[in-house]
Amino acid sequence: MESLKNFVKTLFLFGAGLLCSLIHAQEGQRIQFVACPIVRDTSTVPCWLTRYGDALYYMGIQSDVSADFQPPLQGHQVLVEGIVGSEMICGGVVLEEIKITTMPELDGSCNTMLPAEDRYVIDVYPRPPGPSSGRLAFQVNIDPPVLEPSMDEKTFTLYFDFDKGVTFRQPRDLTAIMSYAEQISATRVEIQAYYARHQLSNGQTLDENPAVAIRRANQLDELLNGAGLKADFTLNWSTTPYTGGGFEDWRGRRAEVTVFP
Amino acid sequence: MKAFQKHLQSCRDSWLVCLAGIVSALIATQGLSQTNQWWSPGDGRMLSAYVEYINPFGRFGIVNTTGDIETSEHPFFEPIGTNGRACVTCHQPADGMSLSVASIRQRWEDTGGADPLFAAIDGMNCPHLPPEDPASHSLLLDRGLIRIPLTWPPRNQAGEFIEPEFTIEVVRDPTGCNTHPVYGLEGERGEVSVYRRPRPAANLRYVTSALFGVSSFVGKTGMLASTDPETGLPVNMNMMADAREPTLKTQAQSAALGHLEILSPLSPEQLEQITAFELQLYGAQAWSVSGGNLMEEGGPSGLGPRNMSTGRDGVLGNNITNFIFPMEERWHDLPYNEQAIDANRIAFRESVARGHDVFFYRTFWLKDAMHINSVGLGNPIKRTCATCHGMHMTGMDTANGWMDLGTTNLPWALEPPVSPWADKKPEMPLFKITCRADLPPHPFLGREIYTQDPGRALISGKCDDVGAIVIQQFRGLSARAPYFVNGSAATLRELVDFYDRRFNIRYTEKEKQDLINFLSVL
Repeated sequence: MESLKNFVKTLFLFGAGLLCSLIHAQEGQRIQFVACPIVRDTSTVPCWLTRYGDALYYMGIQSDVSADFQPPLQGHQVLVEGIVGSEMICGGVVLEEIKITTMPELDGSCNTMLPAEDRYVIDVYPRPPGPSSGRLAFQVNIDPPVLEPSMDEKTFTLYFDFDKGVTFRQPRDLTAIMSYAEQISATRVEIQAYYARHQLSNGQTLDENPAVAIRRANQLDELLNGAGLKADFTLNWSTTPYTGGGFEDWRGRRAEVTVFP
Repeated sequence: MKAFQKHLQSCRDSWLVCLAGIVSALIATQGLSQTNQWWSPGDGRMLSAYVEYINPFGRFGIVNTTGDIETSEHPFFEPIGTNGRACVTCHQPADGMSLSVASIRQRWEDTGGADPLFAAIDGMNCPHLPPEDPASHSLLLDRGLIRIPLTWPPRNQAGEFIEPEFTIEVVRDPTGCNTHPVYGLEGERGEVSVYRRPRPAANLRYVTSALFGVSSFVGKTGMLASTDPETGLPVNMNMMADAREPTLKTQAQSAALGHLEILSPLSPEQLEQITAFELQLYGAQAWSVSGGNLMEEGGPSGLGPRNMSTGRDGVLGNNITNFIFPMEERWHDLPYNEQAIDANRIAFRESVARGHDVFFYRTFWLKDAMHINSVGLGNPIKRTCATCHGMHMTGMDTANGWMDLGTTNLPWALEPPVSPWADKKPEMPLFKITCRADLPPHPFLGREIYTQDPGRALISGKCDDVGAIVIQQFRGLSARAPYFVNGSAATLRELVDFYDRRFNIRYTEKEKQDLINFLSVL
């Protein structure tokens, strides 16, 4: 009887292992997962990969601060959302429409650095690994959009990293809010902050700390006030997580700042 | 003319007298100061429009763009405080407008420790120690460090307390100051004492430039930038090790009240005088023992004090349009000259050019460096020295330039080995930082951090800022050893070796020497 139990147990574990190894998303499928980022050196700029199930995915390359894709941090896991593409780059299947965010807690196991191999070539790189040619890699993103002359209320949406408040990502948006508030001589500002629930492809959900919504609202209030935006501020934060049910869940990591004349 | 004829006569009489005359003439015409290198407060000497001072690698040159300055009654040079010091005490022209350990030790010997430099307030490891004992001044004498007492918790510019994201525990207190009942963290004053090198008071037009990356929000963190109390405008926060003072005026006021122990604040006129003087002063190595004249016609435009005085500030130089230290490839592949002295000079200059290229182009993996890996570039990032040291002409960061390169945080900060056989005791204090559990941890060091100096975090209260130090300018390195905020690199070789270890760069010996030669001519 004991041996039968062991046999069933072994069969179960084997099946579970087989199932894991067969996680292989199809082209066009949207996937969301948490995994370690992997960096592979090349003869030019490094490329960033991550492994989910039995597949290696390509996330992007090293560039500079103007790039849409900003590489993750080793020493941490990364939360990835994207659509499985057909192209292979740097040995990985390209994830289209990729959005990533670094998980805040440290994970020392996320430290894989792969050496350069001749078969993996990155020959289109907007910014070399050394000095630039005198401009940022993506000029289109340098300046905030020119504000249309307007006296209307306007809502600005700011996106955040997982469980994070204001970081290096927000100064551009904050500056745009300040400019618009000055343009319309703002009298009132409403801040609505959210936290997100991420529906992972393995069936699990991953929630931000609800307190981060409060932190986002308070930080935006302090920063805009501190920078000289004199208006009546109203702060709100969500007490239930925003979720897209696995579709663009990253949009839940946001705050909206509405500026009224 | 008569003097010249007299000199010719002396040449006919004695070659030795003739040579002495030529040297004297050279010194006079080039503004070279060989004697009286040390400026004491109230000396009343004239600071020439151009002057050079000897250092181990050659000569440091200072350009004073408004011409000669009478220093008598000038608040930068006069002992306006109660302890006999002046600004010039710690910003010595011969030491690159900073202060070298060699000068400090010489001053101790010359005065028996009576020089105001060794004042109890911060020229000792802690004010309660016996002043006549050199051990009481060990951090100043050994590493060139001035005590900086900072109140804890910090206050913002409006004077309101900031709620810190971490607690501080004193783990090790070799100076006795951080656990002292008056001066300690839990003492009457509630201060943290850290020990830092004085920074050069020259080239400050670059250091304070608002032409790049200055806005109401700090680009690396999104937090509020400090503002100029006179204009209300944001500043670049690139001054001092922790950017705690927003402007040259507030820095001068703070330094006068602290380091000089002045009884009443500096007057607006005095502040104007000090600030104007600091902004008209440019310094760089002017002559190299091995490389010769660094200011010669047709030489690299990134070298020499005159080029410093005319360069553009607020320019990002980590690119092939502006370069950080433009060399124009003028010292690459120089024509061979059979004369031995020229051959050596040519070899050295070519080494400098290679050192520039090591600095500018040699890639390595930058890893776990807060405020560089954490600002959207990724961790690790394959880049070069020029990535962090990107400001045109100075090698500082362009704006809001604090980052943690590991000079004060463990595990990278210099610590003597601990073992039953080790006789060297730690000199620096050690603090344990515990970051709040309800906030994200420091992305590379977690929630428990050991540091000799929490750096910017003592001002911002942010866990992410622990050990983050504003990057210093590269000018006049030859004149002002030791290096890093805590004087932990005694020589340029040790400076290069630190980076080699920190980022596992694996420089070759040739690359190291080229880099050292390059740094020595800045």
